[in-house]
Amino acid sequence: MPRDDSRLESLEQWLYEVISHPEGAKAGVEASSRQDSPAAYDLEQTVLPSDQLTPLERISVYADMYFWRFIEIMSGEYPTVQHLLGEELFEQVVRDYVTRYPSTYYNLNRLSIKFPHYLEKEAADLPHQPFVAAIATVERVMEDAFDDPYREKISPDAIQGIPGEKWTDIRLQFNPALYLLELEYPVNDYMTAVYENRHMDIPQAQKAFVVVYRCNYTVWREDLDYESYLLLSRLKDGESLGEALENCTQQEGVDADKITASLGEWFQQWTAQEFFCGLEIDSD
Amino acid sequence: MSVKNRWGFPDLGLGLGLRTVHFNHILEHWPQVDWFEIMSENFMDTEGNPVHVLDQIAERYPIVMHGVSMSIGSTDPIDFDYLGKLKALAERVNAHWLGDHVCWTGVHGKNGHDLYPLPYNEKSLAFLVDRIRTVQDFLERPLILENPSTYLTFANSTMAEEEFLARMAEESDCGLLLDVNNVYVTCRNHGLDSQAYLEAIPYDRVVQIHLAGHTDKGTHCIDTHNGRVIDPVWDLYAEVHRRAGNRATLLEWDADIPSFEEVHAEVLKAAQFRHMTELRHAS
Repeated sequence: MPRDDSRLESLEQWLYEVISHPEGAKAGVEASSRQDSPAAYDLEQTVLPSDQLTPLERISVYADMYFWRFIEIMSGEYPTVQHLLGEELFEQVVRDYVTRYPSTYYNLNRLSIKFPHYLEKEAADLPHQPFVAAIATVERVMEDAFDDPYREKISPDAIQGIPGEKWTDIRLQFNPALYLLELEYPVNDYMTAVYENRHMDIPQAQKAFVVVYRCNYTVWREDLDYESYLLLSRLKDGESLGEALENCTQQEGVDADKITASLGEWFQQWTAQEFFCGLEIDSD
Repeated sequence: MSVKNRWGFPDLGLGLGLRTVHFNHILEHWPQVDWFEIMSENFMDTEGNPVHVLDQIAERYPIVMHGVSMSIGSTDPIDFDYLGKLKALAERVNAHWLGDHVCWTGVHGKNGHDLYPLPYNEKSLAFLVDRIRTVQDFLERPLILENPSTYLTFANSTMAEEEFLARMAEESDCGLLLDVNNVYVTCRNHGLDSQAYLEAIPYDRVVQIHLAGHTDKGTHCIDTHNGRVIDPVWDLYAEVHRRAGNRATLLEWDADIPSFEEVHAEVLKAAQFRHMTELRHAS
């Protein structure tokens, strides 16, 4: 006969609902005692007091730690967002976010995956909201790049060994820990200032292009100019170098001469920065 | 190394929890540490620096894996994706053993990432034993499960925690990680007798011992892994040694983590108790 674990399940559900209530354990207990609650338990009959603490105080030990843990994790992941919002508001934003998007994965490194989206689409009342959301996008991507799969980088010899006439036929495989971002604010200098504990005014809105990548197990972020961003984006999308160059130079606002003049230097730099982990040469 | 548990797991000596802030020190100095324990989840779902460092450390030191996310007591379905990654990591670092806590961390797909208590009664025991067996079959090794620090008692508990643990270990054939700081914290929080707690533990199933600091709030204690091991916890450790002999012992220090040397010096205090055990056995 199958065992009935429903009572344990409802007890776990009740405890979880109480300790994760955004207004604290007392509000959680009250909410769970309503008739429409999926798991209704009477606190006094479910949790025993100790010599020193009431049942509510005992359950509050867990409730107090619930949001604190997420705030601690996310303040480590989003130091610039925290700086911009201030500690108190940041804590409230994390509480709201975790209530809206509770952790559903065993590893905490996925807890804040939706945080940039949340800030952009669901937290319109925040001060400097579009700038905060742009910062969060970069800080989240830095977390992803830290953990992304490892692939052996392509050697400079492999690049230098390509015959000149074949250059336009190469297709590059990118380091999985590399992200190209098009943003509405120049965030990079501001983030550096915060990390270095320097004051900097919040910049005006202006298109910005950033690459975040992992090189030698360290995550970096760097501003890109429009031309190199565009070329890298097309190469990352799978275009051959010839196709990418042609498409880039046809794009409005692109300085084609700059691309031609910088191409060799760019490739040297990008190879050293471990942007690429493989290449193919198209055959006719 | 003495072998005094039923699986023949070795007494690895005095180890430390491997923490990110000490990575550089370890890679630079390769200190004389008997072994390291890793928090399993910190090295899962990543191919970045943590595993790059771990691979180097695992080449030189014995590694034990200790997780916080198995949620063995949850009524949610067992997460075999998680277990698969756990097993792969254990093979990668050649882990001597792996374990987690007697607890649940979430339910209905939500995860609080905390060690929540179970009611200690026949039904939850049967449920837990069943789950442990399933997980052990999948992992093809015994689980080494730790007594958690708890802060509340369920009214529908019908047995003491130590009895629950002893029966759980016996009926599921799992091992125990005896955290003596957790014994202290739990007994303080519930007004229990720590000597009676230790009396009930089946020491042939104890594979490892944890030491740590905690935070005393006056009305209750919280297992913060912050600060030094207090004297009453050392007394419990001595008592465990009197009953069990030397076991692989590890210090956890997870908040306001000081220098590597300071953390290492704290765990080395345990050597005096191990020495006493050796003298007793010799005589």
